[in-house]
Amino acid sequence: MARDRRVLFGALVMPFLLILLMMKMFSLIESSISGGEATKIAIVKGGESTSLGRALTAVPKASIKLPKSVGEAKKLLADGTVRLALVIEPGFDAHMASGQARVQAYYNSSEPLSSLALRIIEEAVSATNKAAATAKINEKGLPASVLTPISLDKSDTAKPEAKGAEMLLSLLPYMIILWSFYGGFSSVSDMMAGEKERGTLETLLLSPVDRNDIVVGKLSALSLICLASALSAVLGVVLTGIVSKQGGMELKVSANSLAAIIAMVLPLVVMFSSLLFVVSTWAKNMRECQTYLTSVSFVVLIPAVLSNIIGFTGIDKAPWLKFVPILNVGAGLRQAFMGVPDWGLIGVALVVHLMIAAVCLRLTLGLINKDRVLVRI
Amino acid sequence: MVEVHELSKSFFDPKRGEIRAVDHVSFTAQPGRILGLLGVNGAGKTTTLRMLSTVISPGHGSAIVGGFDISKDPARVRETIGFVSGSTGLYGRLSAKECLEYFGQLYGLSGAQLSEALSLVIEKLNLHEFLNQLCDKLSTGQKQRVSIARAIIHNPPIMFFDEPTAGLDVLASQSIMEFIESCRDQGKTVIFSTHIMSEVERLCDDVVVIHEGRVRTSGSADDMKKQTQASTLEQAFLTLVGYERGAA
Repeated sequence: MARDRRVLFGALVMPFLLILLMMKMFSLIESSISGGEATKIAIVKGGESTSLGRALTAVPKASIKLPKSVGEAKKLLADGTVRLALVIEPGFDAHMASGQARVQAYYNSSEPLSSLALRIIEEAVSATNKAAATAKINEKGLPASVLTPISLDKSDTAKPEAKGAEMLLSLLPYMIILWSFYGGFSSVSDMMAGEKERGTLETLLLSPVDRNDIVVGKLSALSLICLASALSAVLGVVLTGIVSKQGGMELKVSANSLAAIIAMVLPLVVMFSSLLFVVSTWAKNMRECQTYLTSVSFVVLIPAVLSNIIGFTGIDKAPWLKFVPILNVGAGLRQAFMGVPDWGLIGVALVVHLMIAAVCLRLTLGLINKDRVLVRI
Repeated sequence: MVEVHELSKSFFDPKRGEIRAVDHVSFTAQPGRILGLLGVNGAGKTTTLRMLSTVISPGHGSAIVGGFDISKDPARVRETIGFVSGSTGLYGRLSAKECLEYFGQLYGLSGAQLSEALSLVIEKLNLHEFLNQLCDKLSTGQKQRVSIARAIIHNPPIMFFDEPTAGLDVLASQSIMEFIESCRDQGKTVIFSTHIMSEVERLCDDVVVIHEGRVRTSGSADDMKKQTQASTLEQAFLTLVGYERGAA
């Protein structure tokens, strides 16, 4: 394999590099949202001296610009100089005392940073409203708690492993599934279809080695490549420093979780390699093989993508999910990373994937003994 | 020895229906002699050799190769034969030496036995100059020499050559033919498939003419000329396959 740079790059280097790149990107987005550059907001001249204007000027995440007119403020919004333009009406504080103060916010909902600016304004308006209401209540001699009769106490039941790792929890299972499959993509077409095309399969079949042994040998090599690829993706996550509290994302994997992850990835890898291998055995040449593989990849991609968003749906606990190949591994991996592996689900997933792998292996063994499959080129 | 009895093979083509590639072919190849399978492209020569080497299974009939039945004991048949073809390939990312070692191991050789077998074939086919080069970097002639070495690494008593000079220049072809002659001199049973008349006249002790899957005649090249009253083997062949001028 060391001489086959295509396989080496596709199966080992690519998953690692892509994960590295993706994690760095997410980390940058996360830091820019949470503590990056200040959001630029325009307040039409005059508004800054009102109570709301003063409250906004004090917000550290906001950078205030003061255009002279509404037209100028809208222009700044249109050319992207500011993310939101705010018009605070004249006599704002007087109107506020009578409960009729109005402000107009111009923003662009198609831009995430503009929506973020709107959130800052909403928070400031809410804080100013609360301060005014508290002052009025105090004037009447009532306690401030009148404004908040319900007090919400939050208790987080998440395992320490899962805390602060929401993004990783949705991403990691998807990445592991994806690379368990795509890791073998670059080498599988070479293994049978390519050997037929180059005439090397015939030389193998001319040797006294049993055909079943040839299939099992090649399949084992492919499974190993798929496994190495999946592990390379995981290694990418570990080495980017995500595990060590970077960008607010932390993920600890216990020995129990690790055992669960391995128990799910191994049969998944065996199923994927068997599926890939049967396609390569059937195809008459590499081009045909790659065409078939593209179609097969969609069958794998759909549950893989679903596994990415399964945490946002209610189906991650549905009983039937255990029996859906790939998707059950997605859900199972997520639970394992959260520190609560479901061994029942893992057992079912193991049986389901090994059964599919056995069917694919049976098909391959049938195909390698079919003359019309072997000699057609 | 190779004894072929009523061997047949059909393939199904969705457009053309059932195609009889080999139709009740019988012949015997003796040790120390070269039997030529002579026929045009698509006559059924390669399919016959593929059945004899157990790569594909016969549809009907039987064959004994080196004392083993091709249907009942295919693994033993494969241990007994060496197969050289113009179309079989080599692993491009292995060097010539690695390729030979790999196939030696597939034939059950290891340790000193493998080293000895390697030295023999390297010497015999003069592979020294490119032994450590990747097979992808070899010329067509060099590749064919490595292919032959791969086929004889286990010193088989029976050799099949399926159009081994296809695509080779005159010098490379010459060395291949000299090698086939040396196999006969060593007492091996040789079956040589070709459509080139000059190669048949030079090499073959016995000739089997195959056309459209069937044996048209068998005997020596001289027998064929006498049988058809032709002055050349080419004329005799054309008569035997029923060629008519301008018909093609």
